[in-house]
Amino acid sequence: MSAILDLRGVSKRFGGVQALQDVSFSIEKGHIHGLVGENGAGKSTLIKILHGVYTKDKGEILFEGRPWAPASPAEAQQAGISVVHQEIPLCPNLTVAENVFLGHPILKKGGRIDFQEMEFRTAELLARIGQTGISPRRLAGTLSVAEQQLTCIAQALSHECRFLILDEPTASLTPGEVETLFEVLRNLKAEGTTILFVSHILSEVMELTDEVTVLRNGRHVATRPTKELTTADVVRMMVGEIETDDRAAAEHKPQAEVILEVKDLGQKDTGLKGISFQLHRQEILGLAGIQGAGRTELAQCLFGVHPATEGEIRLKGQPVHITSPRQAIDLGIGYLTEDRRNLGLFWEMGVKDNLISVIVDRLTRTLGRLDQKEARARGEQAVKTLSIRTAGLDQGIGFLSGGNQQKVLLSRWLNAEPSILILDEPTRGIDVGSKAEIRRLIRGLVAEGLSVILISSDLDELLALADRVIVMSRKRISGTLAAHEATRERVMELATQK
Amino acid sequence: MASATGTGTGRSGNLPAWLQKRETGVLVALVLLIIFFSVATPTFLTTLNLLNVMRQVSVVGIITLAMTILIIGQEFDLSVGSMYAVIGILVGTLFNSGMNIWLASLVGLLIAAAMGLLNGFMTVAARIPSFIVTLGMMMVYRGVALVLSGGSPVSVRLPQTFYTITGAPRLWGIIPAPAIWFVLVTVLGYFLLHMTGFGYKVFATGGNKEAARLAGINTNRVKVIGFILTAVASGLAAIISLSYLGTATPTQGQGFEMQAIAGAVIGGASLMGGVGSILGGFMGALIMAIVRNGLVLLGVSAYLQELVLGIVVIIAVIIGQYSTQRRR
Repeated sequence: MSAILDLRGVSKRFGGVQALQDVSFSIEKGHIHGLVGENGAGKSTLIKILHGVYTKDKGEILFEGRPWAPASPAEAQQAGISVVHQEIPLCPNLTVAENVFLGHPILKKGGRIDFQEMEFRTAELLARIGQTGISPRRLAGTLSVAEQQLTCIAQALSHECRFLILDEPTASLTPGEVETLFEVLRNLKAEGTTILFVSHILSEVMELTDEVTVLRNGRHVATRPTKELTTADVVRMMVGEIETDDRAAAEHKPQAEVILEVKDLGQKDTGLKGISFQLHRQEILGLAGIQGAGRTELAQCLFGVHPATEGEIRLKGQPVHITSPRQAIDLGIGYLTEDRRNLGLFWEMGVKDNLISVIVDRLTRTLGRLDQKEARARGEQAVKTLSIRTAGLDQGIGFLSGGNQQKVLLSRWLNAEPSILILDEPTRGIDVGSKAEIRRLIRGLVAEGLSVILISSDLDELLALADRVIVMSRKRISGTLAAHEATRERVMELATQK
Repeated sequence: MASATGTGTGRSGNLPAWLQKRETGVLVALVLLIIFFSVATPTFLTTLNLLNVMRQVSVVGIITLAMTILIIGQEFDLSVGSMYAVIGILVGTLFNSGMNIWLASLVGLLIAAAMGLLNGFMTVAARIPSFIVTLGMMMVYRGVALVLSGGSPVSVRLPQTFYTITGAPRLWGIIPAPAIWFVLVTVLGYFLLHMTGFGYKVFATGGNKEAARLAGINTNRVKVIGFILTAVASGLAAIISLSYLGTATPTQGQGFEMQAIAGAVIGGASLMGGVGSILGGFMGALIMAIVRNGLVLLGVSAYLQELVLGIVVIIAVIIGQYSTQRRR
């Protein structure tokens, strides 16, 4: 077996942060190679260098024995390396077929676009990855997050790539879809394609890959055959220490007081119906369910984005009608969105400015002046408390790794001092070390008085943190489980109920 | 607060902070132009000429500054030139029919605010893109100006105090009053956009409206205020112009909307919203005025001037973009 990709001494620096330092390793042709590492370990940077988005400062990269330095992603794609990204770059106003062939449409003689052929080939590619349910004619904007991701994979495949990089591909997939994906990847491997599988979900990496490379703080730690390693080994290499058991006994105890009560809640446009539950003070209420079950819709209803059309909401006993996010915030409710790219971050702003979004009015003094000193102080506090890796408070938010961006968003809400915080997939796309940090943080906040509604597709996380779990299915509640009766099987059973 | 100059999208990570700002690129362009015209014609760098430029830039400059704020909030107002005509005619007519000029001016500014409110309301309530709304209102208000004036210009003889404060070409022997107003509005604009909570909300709303909404910011209110500011700026510009020229015509101000948008964009404001600055707008307006002035001094035909100005806009924007976009 020869190496298809060789990295020697690759380094890359951004301003004050050394993202990659002297990284050297090889990837064997026709293998599925895993790439793991904490936030800011350098995985995204490495992928972007391979994909032609960035150029390395130092070192050598050889692809199929020849120097590799594409000037753009398009060049990289044509030369055989394709990437399926963590953040989905589809054009929502174009169809699936148009997106799959974005940039390289199939042309008839005479130069006109052959839509029929594109739709046919797209259907083929989708069938190849088991997605016969997605019509090539659908507008990409109408697809669910999971379907969009699969379309991205079809897009990568449309380029006859020999080296496929997948960056956190399973974050939004159900267990069933993950299995399908793995099947596809194994088939691609059998066809001779080399795959680089980047993921935070170690169980998947251990199951799927032939070798795994671990990065830490921009440096290469090890590249070893997966068979020779245990998950604990990998974690140790990633964080440099053994991860403490997450299922520690809860330090907080839910009070008897009902802080939020919802009765027969319904929302016409999103399809929610008959939602009833209670949230106690200092309780972590988990919200489980598969994609499309209605968890985010419920959160957004409570937060005033899609005001309820039926039913009642009572906050600390008082009935309220929440019609806007501002009102929800003033009532003490916060909402950390699951879609940080489009709904969360202000990409043109720095870390500090992203942090103060919710409390602008609180920081406004006489004549409307914004208290920058206070803003900075809060910013520094947040960076310290959550260990946010950034070159400074004014660093553009686009520079931070995904996990650190999420920490900034979390700080934004913590700054608002809500009494109820709805967290929608708070640890999605975050490394093992930071996940544990955030979980400890959530527990700590709850111990200090916060009440939390936690939406998470990571069942382990949900079961470890939640005091009770509400399972949703098809926009309704299918069951409520206490901590001791909440097992994976029971939850999945309720989640997939007809 | 970040003047949201593009360091956020992180395109030029290795340069020192100030060099990365879009304003630096604009400043470079401005300096280059000054040098060019100073060399190309002996009359450019004279006190007399420079004061003329300062006076000429003021009227459109005031509108450009307000337009910068609006564009950062991701909206446009194409009706500024027409509003400028309406208010000029209105204030002149009110004064001629016996109203005190100060009162007439106040009325003018209030009416301008109402026009801005109308523009804003239609944009956010009816959810029609501001480009379209203000395109229509541009024609509507132009019609209003023609009707109000009966098609003829309005001439006024203003009381000395008012004239001194708003329109005099030489205060204390040198500075034109309009220029002082331009600088005043720049200072106010700077405070409003870069130092207040409102300014922050403008950047947030323009940068990511949905995220701003989810953070509890009333994006509709932010946008409507932006329209009101733009309209009031147009009204102020009209009053200053009326004072200096002693006349208002129903066809005045045509093309102001393009000049204002061009000035804002040259100064670094992004048409996608969320990026821009008052200093940039100030320099952008100056660049436009300097080029116009320089071309006249060079004896370039009036027809060619528009062409050259357009090329300058494009080049200035490219220089501004280049200084913040580097291959990583």
